[in-house]
Amino acid sequence: MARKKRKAPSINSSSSADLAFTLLIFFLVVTSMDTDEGLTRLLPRWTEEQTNQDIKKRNILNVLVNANNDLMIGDDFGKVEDLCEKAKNFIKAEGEFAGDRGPEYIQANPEKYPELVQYFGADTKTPKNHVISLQSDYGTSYEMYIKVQNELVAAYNQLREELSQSKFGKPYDEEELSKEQMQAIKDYYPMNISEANAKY
Amino acid sequence: MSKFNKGGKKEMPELNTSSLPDLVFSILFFFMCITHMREETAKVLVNTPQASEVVKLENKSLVTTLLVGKPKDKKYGVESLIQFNDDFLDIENVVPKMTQQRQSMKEVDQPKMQVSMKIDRDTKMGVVTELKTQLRKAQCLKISYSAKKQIRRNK
Repeated sequence: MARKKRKAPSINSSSSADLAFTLLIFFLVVTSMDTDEGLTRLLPRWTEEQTNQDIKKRNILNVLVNANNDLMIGDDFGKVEDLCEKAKNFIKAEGEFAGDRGPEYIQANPEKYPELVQYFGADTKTPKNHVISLQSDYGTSYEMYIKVQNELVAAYNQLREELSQSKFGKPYDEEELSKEQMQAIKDYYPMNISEANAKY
Repeated sequence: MSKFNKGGKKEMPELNTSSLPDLVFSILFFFMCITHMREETAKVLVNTPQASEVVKLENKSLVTTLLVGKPKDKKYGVESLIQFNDDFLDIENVVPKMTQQRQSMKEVDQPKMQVSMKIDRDTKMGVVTELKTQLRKAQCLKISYSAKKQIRRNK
């Protein structure tokens, strides 16, 4: 009897696509693409004793938020909407300092020091010693605190953007500027926000 | 004899779908690679505030997340609590836990460790400040106040 040579029947693979689709949909659903975003900060190192730095009064802008979420900028009540502009004016320090013109004038003008910043020349004066002192109360709400923090960061970002546009003609962005240029702008307007402890 | 056979009934050739599974599998592998399963379930209610100047936290393996908010389950009280991974974390245990977390990281990455604080918007600053002090003690100096992106209205 002559045997017929039979081919092995191929497996029907039309359903493997469905199978893969099911798995695909499962992973689509469980995937979370969201990346964490936030306001980044560098905390000062912990020291046992409180260090008291002598900072001249004119170099400090006091920002206080109390338990009722009221805001104080410098020496007076303030609104969150005005904070960005006021902080910008303070950091820019473009006014002439005149010590006898009253405290509000003193507060609005941190000293400028000669600072060697790349691209800006040796005789550039930058407000590198200014400090924005942000103080909150034990009962301040976190939402208000972040609002204030956000305004302060916005002030720095806007100043840096302005400087970048006038100096390099490009937006302040990692993709547009070189590393050195970014650093130069950061050196010109260093972010000095002091987050003092909440008061009890 | 004509080369073109007119009138001959020709069926539409069937589309070859044998490569379709391969295609789907490649998409599947892509999603499998980028997926990271949510390993923690939030035991506290966290509704982060909004801010316009947020920056993205680039490297996920460097980021440790702390949640602060009111517990979902009322049996834990109504005071704001700190959650780390799957457990509540007492304020005194922040330093040892964070040190332990740092040691579990690769040595090159240890100085780059970043702590993202996801804090509910109604939390009082007292809790936050206390946590910040503990983080300073634990040498976790790179922090991030987690917030949702919001477009700035007045420019």
